[in-house]
Amino acid sequence: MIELKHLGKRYPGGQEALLDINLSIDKGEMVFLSGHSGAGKSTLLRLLALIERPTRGKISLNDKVVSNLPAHSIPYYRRNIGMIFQDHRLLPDHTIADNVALPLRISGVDQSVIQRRVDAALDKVGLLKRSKFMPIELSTGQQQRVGIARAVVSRPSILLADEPTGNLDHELSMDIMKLFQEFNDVGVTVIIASHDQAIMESFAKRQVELKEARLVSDSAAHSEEVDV
Amino acid sequence: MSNLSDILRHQSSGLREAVQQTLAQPFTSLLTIFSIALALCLPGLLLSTLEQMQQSNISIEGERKINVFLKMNSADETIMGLVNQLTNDERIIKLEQINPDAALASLREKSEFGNTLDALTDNPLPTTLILTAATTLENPAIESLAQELESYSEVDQARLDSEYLQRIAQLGKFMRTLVTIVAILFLALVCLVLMNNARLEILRRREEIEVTKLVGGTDGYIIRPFVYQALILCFIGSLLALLLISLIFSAISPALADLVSGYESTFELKIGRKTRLYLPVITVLAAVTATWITVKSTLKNIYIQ
Repeated sequence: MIELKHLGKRYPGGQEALLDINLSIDKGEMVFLSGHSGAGKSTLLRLLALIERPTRGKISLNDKVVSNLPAHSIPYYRRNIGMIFQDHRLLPDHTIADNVALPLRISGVDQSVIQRRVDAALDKVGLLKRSKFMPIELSTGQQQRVGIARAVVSRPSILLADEPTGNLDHELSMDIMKLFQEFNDVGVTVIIASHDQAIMESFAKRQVELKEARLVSDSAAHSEEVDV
Repeated sequence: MSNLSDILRHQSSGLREAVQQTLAQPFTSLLTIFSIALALCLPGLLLSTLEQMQQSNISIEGERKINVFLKMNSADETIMGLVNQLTNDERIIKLEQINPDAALASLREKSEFGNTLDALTDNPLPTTLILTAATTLENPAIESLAQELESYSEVDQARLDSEYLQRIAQLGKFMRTLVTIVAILFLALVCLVLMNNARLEILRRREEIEVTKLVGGTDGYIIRPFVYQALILCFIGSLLALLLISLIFSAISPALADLVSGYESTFELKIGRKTRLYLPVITVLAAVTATWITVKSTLKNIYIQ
């Protein structure tokens, strides 16, 4: 379970990116973080991945506070989290298979296992036949699928996706979201930041809305509505 | 991460990536290798020369000779008395007497002045005693012995070979200091080249490093290929430097042989054992340390923890 308590982030210039966020996400849950640009969705995901540290409050994972993990422990924490970015962040001079294999190589997994799991991940996103392609040879939607394959190849328990359909048309966006749904169906906790209301409404999932750095609504029955 | 096979797998992965990075940019790699080799050439040349000089010194120092020239026309009894006295002196372990006639014959044989010497009516050479001081005597004691010998009424002059040796030793000391300074400066140059290379490479691969960190890459995982690459480049660079030094020595050896033959010396230039060992080892160690520090500190500038 992920638990955020009085979480806040203020940047050195004084800008408040998040204010007093209290949120609990159960294991195996799929949650949409909604809100306009600048509402704090990406910041929240960055804090969850410990790319940045909160300036107030704490983040707990399975009852263990992780927001104060020492720097040398963060990589090992991050290996349990799959991250998907709007701009894919694929390595342009590596093949698709090499991009997907990166998290496994980092973890020191055997080459034979890497090959098998990369093939399985690429098969899952429908790109097995293009494993030797370079990222530039793929369409934007396909590149996003590679990003998803890379995020899930090490079988993380949590997936964080920051505007994963931001550059895609509706049909491709639905395909990508269905992929997330499939991973969620097998028990992966999925947190997706999106501002595409139509897409979010297509999936009957919990929706947490952020506005001006504050959590303003949570569709979950057990959450309280927060007044602005 | 705790067991040996994991550590070996991570190290071999870093080494493999370093080799790939080195081969991926052959021109840059060759340029760096040649820069390192050229930078190491001068300290390597000096170190080898010094090493050979020291070895030559040791063989001369073992002799510890004092040449005692007696006054002209010294009586045989006087010479005999002095020889007996010196033979019993425990500071002297060997005494060789060279009579004027024998000295003149030897001079005639060895020099090109045979005809000139024939024109002499009298033998101008004095009786000479060549003394070898005991090995227990330090240089000041040998000097004091020479002064003592010179004070004898029968002795015209006592010349100490160690004066020459002292000058050589002083020159050697100066050379050692010079070589150390030059070696440090050029080693620093090699380190700076590699540090700059590593820094530029990090900037070039910034995005890749960021992604690596985002998917769980540790600093160690990122640093290892850089360190191994520095090791590879420096090792090849220092081997190339040794090859260049060897070629330079081969080129100047004939001229040096002509020069030293006049001094009855067998001094020759070749790469010494210390140079063969120290040049690659010290260079690689310094480069690896410098690269590790550079990459570690540059990674701090990448925002992602």
